[in-house]
Amino acid sequence: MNSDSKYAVILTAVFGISAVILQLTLTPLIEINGWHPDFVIVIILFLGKRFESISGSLAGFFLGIIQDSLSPLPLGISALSKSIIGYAAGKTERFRFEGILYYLWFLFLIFLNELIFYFFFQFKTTLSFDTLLFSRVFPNTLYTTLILFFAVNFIGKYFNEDN
Amino acid sequence: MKEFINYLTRFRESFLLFILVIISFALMTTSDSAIKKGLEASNLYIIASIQKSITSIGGYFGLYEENIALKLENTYLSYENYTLQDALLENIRLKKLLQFKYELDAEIIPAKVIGFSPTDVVTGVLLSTEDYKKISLNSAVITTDGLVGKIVKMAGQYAVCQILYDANSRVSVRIQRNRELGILASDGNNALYLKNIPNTIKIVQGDVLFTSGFSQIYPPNIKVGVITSAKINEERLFQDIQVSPSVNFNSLEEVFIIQVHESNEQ
Repeated sequence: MNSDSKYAVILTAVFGISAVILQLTLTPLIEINGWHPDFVIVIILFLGKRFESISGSLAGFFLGIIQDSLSPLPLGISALSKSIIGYAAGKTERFRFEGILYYLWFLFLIFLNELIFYFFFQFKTTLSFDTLLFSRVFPNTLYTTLILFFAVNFIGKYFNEDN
Repeated sequence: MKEFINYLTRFRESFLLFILVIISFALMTTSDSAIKKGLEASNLYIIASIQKSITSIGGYFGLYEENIALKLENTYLSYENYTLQDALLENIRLKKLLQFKYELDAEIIPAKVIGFSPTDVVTGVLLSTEDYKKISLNSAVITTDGLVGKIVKMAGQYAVCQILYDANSRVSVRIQRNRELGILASDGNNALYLKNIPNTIKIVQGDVLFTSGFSQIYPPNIKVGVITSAKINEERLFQDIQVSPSVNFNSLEEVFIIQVHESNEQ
């Protein structure tokens, strides 16, 4: 395992697990009308961007599995969406997105994560996908993007290529 | 073979994603596997331990145990009170023609609320109890004010309680005044609705709802809430009825899990 891989594992363990704990403890306090941000996907986006697709999808899978195991939903539902997003985030450097495009790309990925998750979630609830789309997917996407802006400023430096 | 390995190496990122997606789907379709249950239990235990250590700072100097004992007694009395209120109305209506048994033939197990539900998809709270061996899945959870919800997940001494505000929560209830049966459900956005009450039934603001006892989960005569508004929709068969829960879910500290004795389960 080279030093970059070790750094990826450390960042996943430290920031990923912290994000899961934050998701459990802080999210209910800042929830607005049932809308909540996803701290874990923010970390997966950072990891994917910093370490490319393999690390991104692996981090997404394992953090997703941890989240799933804490919910009564089928194991793999978050892992699936987060693996895909981790993979796509790994392509960020290749596409050379910068500035507003960088944020729009991440906004799209957050939306995609919510979309995939709630697509499968609809089979475990009585709410329709249309209802979930407007009451969960769109608001959660915006809320998570807001958290992303803060996260870039506070912890973004740990995911720079210089480290 | 070498060419195949070269091909995999070249497309290793996509190949890995493909494998992860397949594993995710495989896990989704085997939701009752031992792997899932083991992972769930261990993760819930770890997370609950962290949350408990954060919230345990407040429980000190023996006040906690004393408080628990008093609240336990209070809960028994409250439950008895609900039952007696209901019995009084029934007695008036039936003119003492029938005699019912109103004893609570179940064990009430105290539990501490140590945090919110560790998952976004269940609106609920995380509980910790020393008597965890006595409780089982789908046990009803109450406070002195009324019904809180039911247990949906357990791991050691920790359990997740799904509260009434959860989008998938359904409770069979009875209106105390006119004995009408309905289903209490949430829209998932912190509002409770009483469903299946026909337009022909007169509903009064302030009508009290109790559990009907018709479900396998909730014992009868637990206070659930109060009707805050009722609207008759001419285009539909049933009324639009809003309900305010009897429990303040934002101030839950201790709750009580009802474990109905097996021989008495409905």
